[in-house]
Amino acid sequence: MNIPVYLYAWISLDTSRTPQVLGWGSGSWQAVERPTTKAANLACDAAQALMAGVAPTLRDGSGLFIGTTTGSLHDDIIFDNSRTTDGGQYPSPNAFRRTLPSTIATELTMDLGLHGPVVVYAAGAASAVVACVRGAEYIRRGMVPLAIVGGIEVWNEAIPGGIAPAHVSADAAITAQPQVSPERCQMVLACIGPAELPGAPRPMSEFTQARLGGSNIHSPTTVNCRLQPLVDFLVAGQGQLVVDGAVGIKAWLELQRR
Amino acid sequence: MPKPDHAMEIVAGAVVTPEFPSINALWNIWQTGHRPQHHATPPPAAPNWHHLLASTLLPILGHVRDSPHCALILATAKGNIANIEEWMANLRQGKNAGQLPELMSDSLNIVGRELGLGGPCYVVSTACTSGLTALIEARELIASGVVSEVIVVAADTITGFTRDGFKSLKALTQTTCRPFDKNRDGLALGSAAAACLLRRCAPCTPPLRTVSVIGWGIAADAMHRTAPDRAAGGLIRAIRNAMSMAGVDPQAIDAVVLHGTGTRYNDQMEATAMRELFAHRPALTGLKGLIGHTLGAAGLIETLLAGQCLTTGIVPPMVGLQHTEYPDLNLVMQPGPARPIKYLLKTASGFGGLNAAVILAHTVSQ
Repeated sequence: MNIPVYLYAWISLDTSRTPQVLGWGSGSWQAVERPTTKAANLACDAAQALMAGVAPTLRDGSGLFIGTTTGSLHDDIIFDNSRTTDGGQYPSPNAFRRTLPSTIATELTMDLGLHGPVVVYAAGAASAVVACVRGAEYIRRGMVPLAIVGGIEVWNEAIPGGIAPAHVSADAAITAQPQVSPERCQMVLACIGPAELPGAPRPMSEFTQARLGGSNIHSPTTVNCRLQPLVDFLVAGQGQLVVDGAVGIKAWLELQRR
Repeated sequence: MPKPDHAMEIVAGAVVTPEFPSINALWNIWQTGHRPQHHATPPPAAPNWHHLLASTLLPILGHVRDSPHCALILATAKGNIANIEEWMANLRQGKNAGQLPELMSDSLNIVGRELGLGGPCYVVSTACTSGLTALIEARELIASGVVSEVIVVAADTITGFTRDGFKSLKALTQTTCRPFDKNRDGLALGSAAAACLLRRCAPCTPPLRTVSVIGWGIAADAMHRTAPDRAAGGLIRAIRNAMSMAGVDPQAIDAVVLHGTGTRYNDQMEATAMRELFAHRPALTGLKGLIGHTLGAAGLIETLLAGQCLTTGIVPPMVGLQHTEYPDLNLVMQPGPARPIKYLLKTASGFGGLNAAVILAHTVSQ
């Protein structure tokens, strides 16, 4: 089945990269004042903006396909601190509720009112790309009318701190800037679906052709650019995807063969 | 019988828990409906993550026909949590410079490299539905023509981190896990791994007495971070989608292997869904009273055991259930005779309101 899948819109927490022409915003600073974690609220705010143009009836059955490499490591640390301090008397149930790689995805379903399939993928630095490809495949197979695809990483200071200095590239410094998020949340989401879907925004570009654009595999130890390939791809329209990490390379090569 | 486009089979399966070294060992005990006395207390130490993965994958490998193109999907809720826990302990002492813990994709990478599998490989992590969702992903990879063989391996180990977390939620049983029982008081946790090989069948060579996934559904409650939808909206939607894809009417479902954690909210939700969907009251059973809740591995383990139900016609009892809270439902409480089972439903639900369902069919060549 060869149904073209189109890119309707995409959004990132990095405001300088999000296409402002669409008039859709990104995470707001007001979001960080809400009781759940700042990163999740930033992501949810941005995703709400992304879905603003989608009819509610279409939203309901839409799928959510998210890639993440570090998963819930940030929240694991928070919960672990709660259970190991004060003699382990006060493990925090609220912190534990967030210790799954799928946590932010399920929060997005609540925020966006999505009742369709939710799948969270990890494939090294190709996680978000795998999520995009799988989301497109679910659309082609007729399993979902529309899909929100992309990637989310939540950085804790301890995580980039755990990377050997030689492997920290310039991108790491960019992602660590506090204006992106106080908790180093990175997110890029795209809304994809068939062309001229009733209730969906006007398509931006054909997504599937770009998917086969080519690859440029770089250092497998540059771990800070997990979402950068997707952003580069979206910015360039039909540009090239860049993946890294051994799992990512293998996944990408296989997907490219298709 | 399933149509030709459903012709993909679960060729081989393996399950390993600290107490049961194989599917057959687990199946034999499950049929009795009783947890062995010496298994009453879960083992305190989590099994080694890599050893657990290897011990389930090794029996599968011999069945792979085309390793360079075979896909690999790892299903897990927490990955190598023992390693992450150790990393976090070091972090507190400032010892972590220059290293990260073993992330989920690292585990996958190790496995894929060791086994020489060259197809797509990725991790699926959707809380306690991970195993079932990964099986669905594998089915879709084959159905869409990406690959003809997929290995699915699902694993989670229980450490202090996980135990403390469920304890903080007051979800752990103080006694034993008794799903759907009036006197239930929570879930038990268990470490386990399972693996299976899914393969596309040649159109002219239908498989002999194998199990196929002929329909699936995944749906989100979109309601709460941990608690399920009391009205079972997501679970019902997932089951309906699975039956619709399989082309199976509700009354054709002969048996259901439930998620059955033994928590009040989960049991109530599943009971609501069963009442809503199945007026004919199919046989309902579950496995968690025997091996505990194995998190991301549960869906795959229980599907493989459900396959045993299909092929033998035996629906073993819901282990731990003595005094049912739901007498209107056909919860299996005693071992019974074998009877033909044509279609079986397997469900799973997880934190965040994730729900998955598959319809299994017993495929027999004409």
